[in-house]
Amino acid sequence: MTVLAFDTATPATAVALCRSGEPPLEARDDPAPGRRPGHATRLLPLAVDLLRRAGIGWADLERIAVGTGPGTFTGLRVGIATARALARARGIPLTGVSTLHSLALGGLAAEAASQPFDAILAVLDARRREVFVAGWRPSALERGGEPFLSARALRPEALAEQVVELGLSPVLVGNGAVEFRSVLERSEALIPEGGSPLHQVSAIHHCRLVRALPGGDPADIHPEYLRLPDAEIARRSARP
Amino acid sequence: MRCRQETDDPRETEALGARLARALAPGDVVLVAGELGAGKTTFVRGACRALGVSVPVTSPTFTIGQRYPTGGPLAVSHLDLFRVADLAAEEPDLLGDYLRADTIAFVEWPDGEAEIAAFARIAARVRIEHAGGNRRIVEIE
Repeated sequence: MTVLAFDTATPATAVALCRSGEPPLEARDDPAPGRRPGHATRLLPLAVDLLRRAGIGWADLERIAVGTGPGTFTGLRVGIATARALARARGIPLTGVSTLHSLALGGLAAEAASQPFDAILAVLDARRREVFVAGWRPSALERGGEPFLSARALRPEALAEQVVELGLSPVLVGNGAVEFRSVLERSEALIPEGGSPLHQVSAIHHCRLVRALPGGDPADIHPEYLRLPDAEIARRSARP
Repeated sequence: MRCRQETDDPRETEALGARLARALAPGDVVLVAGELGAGKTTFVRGACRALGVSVPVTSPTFTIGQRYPTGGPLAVSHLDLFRVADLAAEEPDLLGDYLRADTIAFVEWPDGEAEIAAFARIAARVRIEHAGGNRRIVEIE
């Protein structure tokens, strides 16, 4: 199956093109520290670049996969709107992939690390001094299995406490693990060094998950913001 | 316009918004802060009516921003940045569509003044606080 996958939930614009029997191709834009994301201007040029490198066209794509977050508001809207448009225009299915799930799957490569681990936690910087996190057992990751720690936004201190309470020896990957390393390492967590590619969201792992996840109607794929809008919070708190 | 005033009900909060609106010019942005239910949207609605907006004015909580026509060359933008945790991490164009030279803008939950100031002149900061029941303290500076 020929899959174009991309993720714009983090400041990076990550794109991959995967074909049966061929090594996956990747193109990405990682803004330098202090620079703003370039999702709107970089996403489609990077996709076109990959198609050109593979010597194929839009008509050859059989599936689109897109990261559904959690992540930044504009990033998710740019990614999901683009994915829906491409899938609809080509008449092919769209698969939504949790950005945390893809990140955790990439973390499996930490197996080469010296320290054994029993869980992988994907940790993204959610700003406001919070992280987005979800956790998987290594055996569940590749099967597209459910996380044992479902996606949530919380303070890094609270995450460190949960790791201790659950008795985990996890690997933590993602920009949130790097940002809050000093807090998170109070638990038994192993965090690869800051420059490790394990902390990057890579759309190649979205492609790997497409095998285990269904493709469907583009209109059914929605962003996962994890944080509620203010009107929704007000409505819920007004309930008797 | 600087003031600190207590309002007795939403109508008075709207009237205060209308008073501020008369002092604004295209390219201006007003930052409107206050807790959930403080009356930020009520204040903005009053300002919008004074600027000639006749369509419904509700909080753009799900869409981040709205542009209202006024029947003239001026447009009014209304943003709610509650869901945007950090403006510096977002696409710059998020604000560019709303904060323009031909527009007067109102921003609820205005975290990230530096990013906002890159697009428009911050003409006023409004802070609205609960003062019991329908009463509010509105501070404009």
